[in-house]
Amino acid sequence: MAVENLLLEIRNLWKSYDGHPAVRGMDLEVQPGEIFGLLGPNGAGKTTILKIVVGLLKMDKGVVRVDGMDIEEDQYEYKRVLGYLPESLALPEYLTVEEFLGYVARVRNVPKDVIAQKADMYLRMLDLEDRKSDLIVSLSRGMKQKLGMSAALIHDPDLLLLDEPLVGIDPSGQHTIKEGLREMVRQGRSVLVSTHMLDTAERLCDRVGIIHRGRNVVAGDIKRLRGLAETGENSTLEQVFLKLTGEEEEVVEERKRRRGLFGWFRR
Amino acid sequence: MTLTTIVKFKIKEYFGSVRASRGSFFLALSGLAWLNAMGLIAGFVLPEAFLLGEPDVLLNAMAAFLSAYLAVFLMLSMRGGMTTFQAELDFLMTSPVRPRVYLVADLLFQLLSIHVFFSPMIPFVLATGLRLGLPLSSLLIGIALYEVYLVMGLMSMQGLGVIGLRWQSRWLTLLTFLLIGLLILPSLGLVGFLSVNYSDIPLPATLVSSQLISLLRGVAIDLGAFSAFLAYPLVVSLLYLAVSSKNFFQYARPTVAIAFGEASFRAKSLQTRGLIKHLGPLTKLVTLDYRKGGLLGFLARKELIRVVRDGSLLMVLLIFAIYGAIGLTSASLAQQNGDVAGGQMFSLVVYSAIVPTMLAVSWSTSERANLWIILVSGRSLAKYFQALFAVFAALAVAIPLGLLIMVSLFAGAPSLWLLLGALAVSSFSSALSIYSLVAFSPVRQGAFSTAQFFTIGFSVLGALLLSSPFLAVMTLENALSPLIQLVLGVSFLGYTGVALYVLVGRIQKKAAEMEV
Repeated sequence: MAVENLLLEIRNLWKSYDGHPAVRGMDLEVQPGEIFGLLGPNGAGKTTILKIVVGLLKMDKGVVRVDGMDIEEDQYEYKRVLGYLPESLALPEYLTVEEFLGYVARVRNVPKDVIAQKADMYLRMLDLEDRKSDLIVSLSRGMKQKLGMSAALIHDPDLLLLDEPLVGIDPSGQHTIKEGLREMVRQGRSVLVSTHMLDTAERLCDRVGIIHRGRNVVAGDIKRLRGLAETGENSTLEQVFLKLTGEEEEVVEERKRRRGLFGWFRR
Repeated sequence: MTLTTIVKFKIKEYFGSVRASRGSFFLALSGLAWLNAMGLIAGFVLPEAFLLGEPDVLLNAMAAFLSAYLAVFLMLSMRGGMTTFQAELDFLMTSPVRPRVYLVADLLFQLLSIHVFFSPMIPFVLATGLRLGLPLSSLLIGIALYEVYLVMGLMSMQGLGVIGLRWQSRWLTLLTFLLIGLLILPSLGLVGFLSVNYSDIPLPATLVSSQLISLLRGVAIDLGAFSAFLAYPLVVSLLYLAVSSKNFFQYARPTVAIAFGEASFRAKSLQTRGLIKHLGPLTKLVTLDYRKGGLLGFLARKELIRVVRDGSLLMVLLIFAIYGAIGLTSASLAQQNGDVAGGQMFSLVVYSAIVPTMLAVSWSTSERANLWIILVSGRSLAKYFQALFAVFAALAVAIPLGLLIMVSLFAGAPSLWLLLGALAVSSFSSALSIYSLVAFSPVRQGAFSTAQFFTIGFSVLGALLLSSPFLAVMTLENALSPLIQLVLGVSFLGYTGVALYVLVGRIQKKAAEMEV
């Protein structure tokens, strides 16, 4: 049964690679007009979840609904409302910046007469206007990331899925992107950001969901998470994260173990 | 110790990926065995008249071959002359290792690599020696001379490479080009375009070739020529000694983009990126206008622009030049013998099948990663692969057609069945190449991976098999009446249409199941 007014709804999602489970019974909800941060250590399953939602991977089990549409029932139609920026961004480097945005816009069914206007708008916003005629191969990593962001936005999606979007982008570019995302949210659209940059998540996201080893740990706003972790009112998201994922204990255990190993030498 | 460690590292970095799977190991091993067997056979069957006939012909041919070696070394010297991996730049060149140690290690590694890639040379020499009944000492001296020549070439390459890296002088580039010209130009004498021949110039290749020929004929070595030859390696060694003490680490850059065997996807994309950087600006005259045409045509134009800008088409055209040369030679030979079809058929049919497979291999290493753009857009991949098929088939028909026109200028107009056969082979090979891409190719693969070899083998053999009715009629053409030919032509075209329809349908079905 679909929950109304949810842009993204994930129920009991399972996915494994060669018998190794990557996602184990995940649940997740993204509401209209919010930035939701998906946090987790490396290998937690964040990228896998995003790839399943955008149709790059097939799930083993579960239900995923985008804007009320079951992604298994119609594998194409729901993608109209999605914009996606992958973590490992592969781009057709033989195209120019302008040609690439035109290409994405055409496959995204953006009307031909508005493509130029939209491309110009996003390129101006992300300071890429003067690189319009350059081949993508000549762009720096940060510029490519900004171009990927423009491509994810070119069809005005209702739900933007961003996998580590700020990696490799300079501070001014990060600021522009964050402002752009806030503006999107003010217009009633939503963003799902997968990241392990906790300070970014703390400042950018309205709610965060912490996942660990493919399972939900907890979801909610930072205040709720602090309460659950019992880390105090002034604790950082990093402290909350370490507490809730049990990594703090793991770090302490590791230190103890090392002390035990090297203690003999120290004596 | 450091020297052997570096050599071992280089071997593992370059050849180690062959061990990635049993398939790639077996492929490499069988390829090596096949090449060595060819060398052995060539040594036994090479005409005795050639080996013991006109001495000048043999001297010039051998000197041309050995000079080409040296010319390639000199060309590589302009790219640094070393096989430097990114990992070496990051970890080895930031350690206290001396440049000379690194340089010598690289020399040993390159010497070993040459022996792997040109491994048939030794069986060839051994077989030739056995056939001519040469004493073992002559064979050993011959092999030693060849090795000295190789080491001298490698030392020149590295020495000039270091000088180029450190001082980046245009004069050095000019000098290198002049030397390459000096080494290659006498080869024109072989075909009568120049009156000067290798035998007239005391190049190292000429001097070493004359010694090798003396050994082959059981004649005593000319000590004067032998000493003159040794002067070259001596001078090069002195240069090498002086240059190798200079620190070139700050100027070194990675030169090995693709390791042998299971090359990494990243390495291949780096190489493609390099090609786009150099070729892209030249090809920007044709642009991708998103305002024009329907989606299928737009996707096809985008793919056409890709093959032009990323160098895939250039690679195909290079092979075209080789097949063109084979075609022209066989056509001119056939003309002399009053036979016209043999050379044409071979070149055209084989090349028609190969073009799409080359494009497919290039696609899977550079463009497959960009499929996500279509997949997340809400479009089915079926349309994209339809466009890809159209581009592959168009190029696979157009390029061999160019070859055919070129050969026809020498050998007369081709038969209709030859054209139909080539058309069928190109279409089937295009469809099968794309089918193997969507059905069998893994997400990430190397330039020489098992999957790539499979794509080539599957598509070429499959296309020849599916086109066999055309090929059969092509060979029996003269024995069939025009009416029978017409009936067969119409039914074969119908069969091709149905088979392609089925194949394209299978492609679309498989494309819908693809993961990226």
